[in-house]
Amino acid sequence: MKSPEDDGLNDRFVQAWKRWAALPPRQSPAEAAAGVALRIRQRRGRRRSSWMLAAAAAILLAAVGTTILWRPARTVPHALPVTEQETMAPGKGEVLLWIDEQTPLYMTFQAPEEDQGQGGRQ
Amino acid sequence: MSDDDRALILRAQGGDVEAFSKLVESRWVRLVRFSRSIVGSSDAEDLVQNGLVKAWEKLAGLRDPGAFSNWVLRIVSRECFSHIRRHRRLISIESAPPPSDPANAGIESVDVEQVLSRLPARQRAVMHLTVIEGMTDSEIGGALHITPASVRSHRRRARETLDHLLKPAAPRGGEGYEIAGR
Repeated sequence: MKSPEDDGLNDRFVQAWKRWAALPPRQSPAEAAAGVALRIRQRRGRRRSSWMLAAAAAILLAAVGTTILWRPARTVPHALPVTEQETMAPGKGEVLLWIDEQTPLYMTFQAPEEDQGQGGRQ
Repeated sequence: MSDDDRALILRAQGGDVEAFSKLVESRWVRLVRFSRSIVGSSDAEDLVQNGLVKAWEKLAGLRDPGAFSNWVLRIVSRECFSHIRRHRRLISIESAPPPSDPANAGIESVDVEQVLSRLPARQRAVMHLTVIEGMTDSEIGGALHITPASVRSHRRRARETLDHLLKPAAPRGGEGYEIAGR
């Protein structure tokens, strides 16, 4: 159907255009259809692979997450009070006092003549 | 639309690639001609293939199988328009090169592709569907998703440009045309 607005369009140009438009495509319809079908299948394949990859990544992530969350809490070794640890036994003339559970205080007693004697020697 | 085509579309919508390729086969030539008028010969077939692959991906959303042909035409036209936008292949009238030899610009040598390249893409599409396909304004509007009034407007402007471009050739031995340019 020709629109009335085209009546004045250059007829020879229209004829040339129609001839040009009628030139056959480089690819035949059968080749083109095969090409389109191939591209669709390739895209499907790629899409399937990317879904599988995403699913595998999600499963791996879930497994790692679960492992982290359900891992038994690490046991921190309890700091023993010093009283329970080996403490140096007080020597001769020494008295051991406990300021608190973890703080020993050694006091050394010395006779005055010993001090003088040493001083005398010096 | 034939019952066979309708059945093929329904099968294709269900994921049957073979059915879709039969639909492609029967529409290939028409789509390439349309695309060629918009983007020229070199890219037309690739763009139609791209459009058909996109049509396949959107096929499940097509509610009316009877609208398949125009629906595919619309997808291909969008593919062509976006290709032109990407590549800026539109040659303005001002920057168009002069014809190689106006003396030889007889009817047989009118470079249709060169003339069409000077129209905006949508005008080329409208003119193709009018001149080559003989479609009505409402059919063209339906295919390109524009109103019939817009179709008329595009056609009027295209005709003005074509009238400007196609002038009778210099009287060098008979009828002929030259492509106006600088």
